[in-house]
Amino acid sequence: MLQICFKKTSPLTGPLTGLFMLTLSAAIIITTTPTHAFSEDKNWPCAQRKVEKLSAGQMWRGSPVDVKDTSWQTNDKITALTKEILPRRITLEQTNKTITKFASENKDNLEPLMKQTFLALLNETNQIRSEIIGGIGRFTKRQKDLAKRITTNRQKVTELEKNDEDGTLTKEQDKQLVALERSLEWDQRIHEEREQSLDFVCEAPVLLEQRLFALAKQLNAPFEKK
Amino acid sequence: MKNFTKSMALIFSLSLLSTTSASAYTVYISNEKDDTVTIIDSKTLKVTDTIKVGQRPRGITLTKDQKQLLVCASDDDTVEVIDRQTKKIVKTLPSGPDPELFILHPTGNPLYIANEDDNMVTVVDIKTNKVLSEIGVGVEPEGMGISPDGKTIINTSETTNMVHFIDSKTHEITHNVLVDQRPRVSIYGPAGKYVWASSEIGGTVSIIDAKTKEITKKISFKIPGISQDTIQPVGIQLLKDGSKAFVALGPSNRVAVINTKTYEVEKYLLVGQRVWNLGFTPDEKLIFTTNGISNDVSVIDVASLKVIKSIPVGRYPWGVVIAND
Repeated sequence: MLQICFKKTSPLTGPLTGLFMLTLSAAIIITTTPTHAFSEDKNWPCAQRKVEKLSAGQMWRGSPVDVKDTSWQTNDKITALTKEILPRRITLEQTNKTITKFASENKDNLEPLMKQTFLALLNETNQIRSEIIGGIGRFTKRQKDLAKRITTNRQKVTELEKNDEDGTLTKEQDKQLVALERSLEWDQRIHEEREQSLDFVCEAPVLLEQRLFALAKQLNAPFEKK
Repeated sequence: MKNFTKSMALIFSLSLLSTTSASAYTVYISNEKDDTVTIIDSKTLKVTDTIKVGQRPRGITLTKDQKQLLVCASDDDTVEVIDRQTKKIVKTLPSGPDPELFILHPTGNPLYIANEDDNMVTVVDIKTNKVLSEIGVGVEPEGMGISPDGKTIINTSETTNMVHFIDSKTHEITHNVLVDQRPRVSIYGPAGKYVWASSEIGGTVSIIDAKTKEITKKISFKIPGISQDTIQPVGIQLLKDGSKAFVALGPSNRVAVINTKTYEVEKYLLVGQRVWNLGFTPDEKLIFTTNGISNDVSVIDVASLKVIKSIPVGRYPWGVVIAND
């Protein structure tokens, strides 16, 4: 059985990682071979070019954030807010309400707080995303290995069938042929199912990117209006 | 004081008006994942309708008389022709497999279609529905352009990393120009002297002399706070006077504004996610960008170079075309 394991990296990643573990455990039976011949990473199966890490500048529309600022790590207010808005089960409507309330309670120091919250979200999202991207790479390799096994077994079956036609098939070979045919049928079915789920697998990092962008917009909104 | 307030209010409302297009144009957006085309009014910047089309709509353009809309339904292996008045599909054109992008001859016919899965450019007479020719090009053809005089067709092939120059009469490739990895969009500048070609993986835009076929300039991009691998140039549009070029930079979520005299990037505008293609309103006051991941369209005011609005559309907006009325 193919497995993709995700490490829980911080308490903040809990629910989201859990969701993606679920998503990708469904994808355990899903792997693929690269469809874009010119992807830079041979084990990257998605049509979208692989982007290892999301950058602050991709998301943040206000004045530049200092990515070296790690003060969010020791700020309880930010930890609490991040915990509340990061999980994907929380709708964007809810996160917007939470952020607006947070903004109204922290008017004096709003911009630095929002920037630090964004940095916390960026950091958490990049960690989860990197685990998913690693998982996609591993599972693509497994799909390639499966494709290789299918080719080898198909060749063996052809040889044994030839023996059968020639009347030279031994009893032992007959047993082998039956087992190989059964295994081939399963392998092909699994391979095909995984191929069909490629879009779904490739969507996982995109969904994280999509959510971070939306959250960054919400965090930026209160002091943009000021 | 009262008069002053009134004047200020007037100035304010006038300034708001000036950020939108003076005339009402109709903006059409193809939504790759929703199998729809979104229609936007350029004056109100509101979605007025959504049309159901074939599977995976990508390339989108208008007939010369602007009465019909042409849409590449990539997964249906066809080009759909939609009547703009009734918003109904009136016919389909034989496109060859997996049509992605196309360009209409300046006279209005024929249509040159890039077939991504078949390494071909299909030439179709849009009046008779006949395939006139199939031109073999590089692997995974994508971008399609044509010189203002209609004599030369250009096509990019994503895997071969080339811009092919094709004689529109003989349908023969006359020149191949090697550019950076995964070329996407290629267009002629307004005077037809230069070809602009974007390279998604290479992260550059090559400027090719249309006469000598030499690359005269290669533009790279550097955005503070953004890693280089997210800077993936795709859509290109140039102002009619050739003074500025706008380049969509994919997952960096930015549009680069380039001074075409110096080839310097004057500004990087943050739009939506995975910005893909761009389209000017006919008066060039606004530019619309399709943002594939954030499922919206950003509207840029060309004079102020400011993003003035984000309009939610269907899933994975891809192409954009804007009609005169």
